Amino acid sequence: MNILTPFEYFAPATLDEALELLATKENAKVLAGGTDLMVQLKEKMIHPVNVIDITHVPELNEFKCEEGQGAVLGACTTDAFCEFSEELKAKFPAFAYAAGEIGGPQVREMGTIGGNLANSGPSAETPASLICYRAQLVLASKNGERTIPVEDFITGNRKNCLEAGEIIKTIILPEPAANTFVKYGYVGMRSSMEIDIANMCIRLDVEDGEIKDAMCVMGSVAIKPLISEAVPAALIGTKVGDEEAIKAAAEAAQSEVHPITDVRASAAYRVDVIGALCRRLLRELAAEIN
Amino acid sequence: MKKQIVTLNINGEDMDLRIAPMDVLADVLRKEAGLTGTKKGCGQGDCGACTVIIDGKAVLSCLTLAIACQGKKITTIEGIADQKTGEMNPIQKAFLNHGAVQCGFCTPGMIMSSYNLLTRNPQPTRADIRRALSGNLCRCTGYLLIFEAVEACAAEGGVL
Ligand SMILES: Cc1cc2nc3c(=O)[nH]c(=O)nc-3n(C[C@H](O)[C@H](O)[C@H](O)COP(=O)(O)OP(=O)(O)OC[C@H]3O[C@@H](n4cnc5c(N)ncnc54)[C@H](O)[C@@H]3O)c2cc1C
Ligand code: FES
Ligand code: FES
Repeated sequence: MNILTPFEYFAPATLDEALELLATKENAKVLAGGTDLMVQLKEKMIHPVNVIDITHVPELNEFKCEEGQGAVLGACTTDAFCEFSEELKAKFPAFAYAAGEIGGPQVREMGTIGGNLANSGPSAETPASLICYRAQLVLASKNGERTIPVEDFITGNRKNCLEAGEIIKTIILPEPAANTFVKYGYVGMRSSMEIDIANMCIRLDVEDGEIKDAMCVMGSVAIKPLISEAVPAALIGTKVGDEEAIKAAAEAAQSEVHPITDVRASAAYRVDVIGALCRRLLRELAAEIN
Repeated sequence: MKKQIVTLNINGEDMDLRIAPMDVLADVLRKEAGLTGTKKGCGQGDCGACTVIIDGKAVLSCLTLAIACQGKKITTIEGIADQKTGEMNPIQKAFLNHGAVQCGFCTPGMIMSSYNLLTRNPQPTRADIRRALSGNLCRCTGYLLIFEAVEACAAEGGVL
């Protein structure tokens, strides 16, 4: 009755136990919400001999979001938790929104932010906003811990810098400055249970109506989240909502992407979508700021 | 991989079931526990037919390892009816009374998602209902009668 290749299942209760299992068990794979992993097992894309369920580890389920202290999320924090958290919605609205646009409600109850990052799919929902909020990841293995920015974590299509025996332990979101505004948007074939044709997150740091700093991250248009150089160049020094600057920024974004044609969209359509997303997000940001 | 006896709490009852580590909950419910109300459509997370409630959350039993459910409370479509009298839950009655069932394959999943919504949000808007059911596909009804059934159930006193 089962169509999965046999494996042994472990549910460690502590972080040490989990890291020990990962270090010693041959061909071991981490299981969090399973919404990517179970599909990959069923498709026979991976053949682990040992599956280590990390969802019972207390450190991976911690959540802190205190005033002035940013936020700290254990890797097993679910997408749904982030979608509904009043604290996250207030402080990191673009991230909470992105988490709430993953799959459907059941997928979000199961899926975790650590899993979304570790899966490192090119169309993943949360990396763009996490990069714009300057999030850092604490990676842990039996040999210790290291901290790296999310933007350095994903290195390619389903590739990241996790080493053997290493897991994402925590996602650290620094407290955003009062003059920082971030918006995330995506275009898909339907509004839920779809894979994005393209997604984008824009951050503006604003003083007296002028854009002092900007960041634009695009997803689903390259093998990993693409951090724009041309969009900030088109925006910095302009007034928020300036239509000339918005058009220039959209063209700048389009000039940087070289997407692929696949079952979901043609490359040309993806380029159009990038322009539209950029204009839409900048206009929404202007409406919010002004 | 050898099967082992694992105790799962399903619809309030501890059941000793023969489970291998790679068995998914949807298969175990249907083939070991004999609870065939839960349907398996795509087996890939896309259709929601296999939706059950685990510890108060509507989740997909086709992407859940059964062995990972030890110590958790699993509620299936069979578990929301009155366990003593067998009388249907108000949301089940609402689906029947409002013609929200055609072929019926999506219905158990739709009802579990609706039930979960109404336990958390007894007076949902149409937008709330659409969002709560956005992970459940129906190929027959066009959804309208399903939304109306959920609204009627909420108006008539809810699921509890
Ligand atoms: C129907 C459906 C629709 C979906 N739609 C979307 C969508 O719109 N947008 C989107 O971005 N994603 C989508 N997904 C993918 C998925 O739901 C998310 O990526 C989810 O957040 C993954 O988390 P998980 O806990 O389920 O990961 P798992 O499946 O448990 O793990 C995914 C991968 O990450 C590894 N891993 C997990 N946690 C850790 C950790 N802490 N440290 C190291 N490695 C780890 C696992 O070994 C595995 O390789 C969809 C999935 C389904 C089934
Ligand atoms: S059978 Fe589980 S989502 Fe389709
Ligand atoms: S009633 Fe047939 S799929 Fe919904």
